Amino acid sequence: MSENNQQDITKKVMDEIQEKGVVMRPRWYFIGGSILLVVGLTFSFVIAVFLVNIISLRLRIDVPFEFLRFGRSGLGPFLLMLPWPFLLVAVIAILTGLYLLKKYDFSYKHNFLIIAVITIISVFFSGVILDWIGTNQLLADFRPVRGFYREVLPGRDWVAGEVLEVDDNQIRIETLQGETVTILWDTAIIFPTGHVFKLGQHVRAFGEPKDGVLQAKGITTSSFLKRPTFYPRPHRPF
Amino acid sequence: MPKIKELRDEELVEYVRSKDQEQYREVVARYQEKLLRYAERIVNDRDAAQDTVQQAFIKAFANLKGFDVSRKFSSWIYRIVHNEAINLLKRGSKEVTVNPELWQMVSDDSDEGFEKALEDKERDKLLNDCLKEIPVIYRAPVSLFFFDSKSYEEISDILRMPMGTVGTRMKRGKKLLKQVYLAKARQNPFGG
Repeated sequence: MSENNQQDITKKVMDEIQEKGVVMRPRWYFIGGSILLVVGLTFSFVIAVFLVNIISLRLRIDVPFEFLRFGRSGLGPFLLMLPWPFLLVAVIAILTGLYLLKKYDFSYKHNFLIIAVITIISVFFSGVILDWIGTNQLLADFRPVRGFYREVLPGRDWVAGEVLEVDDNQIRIETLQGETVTILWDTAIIFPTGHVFKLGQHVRAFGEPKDGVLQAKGITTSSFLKRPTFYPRPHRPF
Repeated sequence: MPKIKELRDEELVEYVRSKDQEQYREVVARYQEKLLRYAERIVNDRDAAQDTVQQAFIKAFANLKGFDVSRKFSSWIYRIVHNEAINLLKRGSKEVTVNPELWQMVSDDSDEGFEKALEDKERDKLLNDCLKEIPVIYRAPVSLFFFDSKSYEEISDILRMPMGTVGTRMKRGKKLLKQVYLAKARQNPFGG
């Protein structure tokens, strides 16, 4: 390259900086960006871990997979009982976190797919462990999130408890909250574990709740887990 | 005032941003030639390369306080030029596409003659002629390695990719170059 051409580029650059009034961005702009990055990253993963913990809690209590035993007709309630909003927000939080992680200098030095897989596995196990060690019991009494636990968590369209009375096409059960619920059924009912119920047996039924009665679509004997003591009562009374 | 010419790049940057912004002139002077040649190899157009480098220098100036002086300045400024060049290619869709037959010709067999050619004094011309025929994802690392004498680590920093990927792209890039070279040689066996 000729000397003139070199000078030409230098001159053009320096002239443009002066004419357009280009100024150096202040140092706090970059420091602020780094802080926001760290905060965003931390926030995304905290949200993701918390929601995985909530999903784990819901799966433990609602046992949606138990309804797979009802065959094809159980798929609807199964899908209904999966905590989709939590799943969706958890996925968005993880994707946001991974996007921010990609902006870190170290991330390009390694295979990002491996970083992403390790991150997702870490979030998953952290969330599940958080639930197992009883974090939700503690959080349920914590005022800022108490409302969340009481309003958002209750299961829908199902009931579980101990059989008190057996009659034709109906049983009465006592739920773990101590409420008495009548479960009715018709010919369209599904009994994956048989239709003979004994007093004291634990059952789980799903269907349409109405006026303290559950019009059941399916009833199964259940080895459901005991509800955590903090778990709120169903918002629809039985 | 220190002797500007004797300062290392990183020291010069620190001096520019904290004491005398006018000395950015020296930063531009140090890198313009190398960066212009690199940009030209990426965008295949001298005028576009000049615009690319100018804009890169302006951006670098605006973001100079964000540069970490514990890192290599050359990798940082090359990175900015690379991004500008890639953006230009994306805007203008000037990226070359390789003939599928050429891809099929890429084999694992080594070609000692070609490897030797890469090492001898005519390699610059040879590479210049062939380089523009290969996709930019291979052109960039091969160009940085052979023309700008960058190490794999520096290329990794400039292109923001793992070292393993740099190695893979270098290997494939060299194979493609070899095939382009052989294809050109067949088309024009008498040279010239």
